[in-house]
Amino acid sequence: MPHAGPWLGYVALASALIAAIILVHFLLRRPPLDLRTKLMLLLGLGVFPTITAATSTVAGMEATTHREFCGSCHTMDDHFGNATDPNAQSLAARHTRNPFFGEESCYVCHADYGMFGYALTKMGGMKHVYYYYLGGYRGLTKEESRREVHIAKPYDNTNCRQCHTTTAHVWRSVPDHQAMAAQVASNRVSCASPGCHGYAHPFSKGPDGLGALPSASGHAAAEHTP
Amino acid sequence: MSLLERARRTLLKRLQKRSVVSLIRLACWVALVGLAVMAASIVYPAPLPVIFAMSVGQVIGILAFLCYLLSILMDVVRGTDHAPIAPGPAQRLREADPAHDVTGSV
Repeated sequence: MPHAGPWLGYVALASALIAAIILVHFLLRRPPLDLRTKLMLLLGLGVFPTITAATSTVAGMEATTHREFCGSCHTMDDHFGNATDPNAQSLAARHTRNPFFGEESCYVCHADYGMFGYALTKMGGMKHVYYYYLGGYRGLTKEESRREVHIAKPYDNTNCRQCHTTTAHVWRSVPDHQAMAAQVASNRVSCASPGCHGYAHPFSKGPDGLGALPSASGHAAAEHTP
Repeated sequence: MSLLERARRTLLKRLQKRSVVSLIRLACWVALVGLAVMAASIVYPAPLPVIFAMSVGQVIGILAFLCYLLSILMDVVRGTDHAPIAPGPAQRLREADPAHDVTGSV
């Protein structure tokens, strides 16, 4: 997961401000177009905007991993609320309370950890934007979104195993783990399933938190994984 | 005169009609818009501002820089001034075809 930190945002804002001062000075004061002015314009139109573009891109990508960013669409209100509820006992809530996940608990669990995982995760995120702004999700009520929005494909146990390696003695000493090790490794049994550790977002699985609600339209709706 | 040469002369003529300063001023305004879009994504990192900053904002910034580069090209084509003894491509153009002197020099 990226850890660029907030300073990149400050660098982006500072370079944008410097460039803006140079440009506004040129526009208002109208200095003669001598070598000094041309060099200043090179800074104001080339160097500082390039720094702004580069740092704002990294800072923007960093911002997309934050939980608040994921929860900024109203269709994710329930997921966000449950994950950040200090009294909730769902997998999502318990993991969000883990300091290791920090402000990026959605991203840490839903990211693709393959070779091109970061890019693929962001491409998947673009599909969410499409569904929200052009696919009709923006007009869904909370109740409808709880019914319609669901994970695109079965959750990959590999994501759980980024931390829970399944090789530690503690994990292997659990009889259920021993019995299901092969199925867990091959994704035939999900760690986040009833009977194991339960759904990560049980509120979205019906009143009892165990079964997926049928979609109102009768067909699978769009996805929600990154 | 070949078609390529004619196109080149037409392009130069059009470039020389435009003011370098006005093009730079346009570049400044365009760059300010691009910077505002990019800065907005930092101040308010919601999905649309971030996506706009990474796409539209950067395209606007590139356009502004291209305007600046074009103004440099125009400046080089015109030479240091428009006098007949001005060095650079403008003088060569005038020498090649005095009847089509686009610099306005005598």
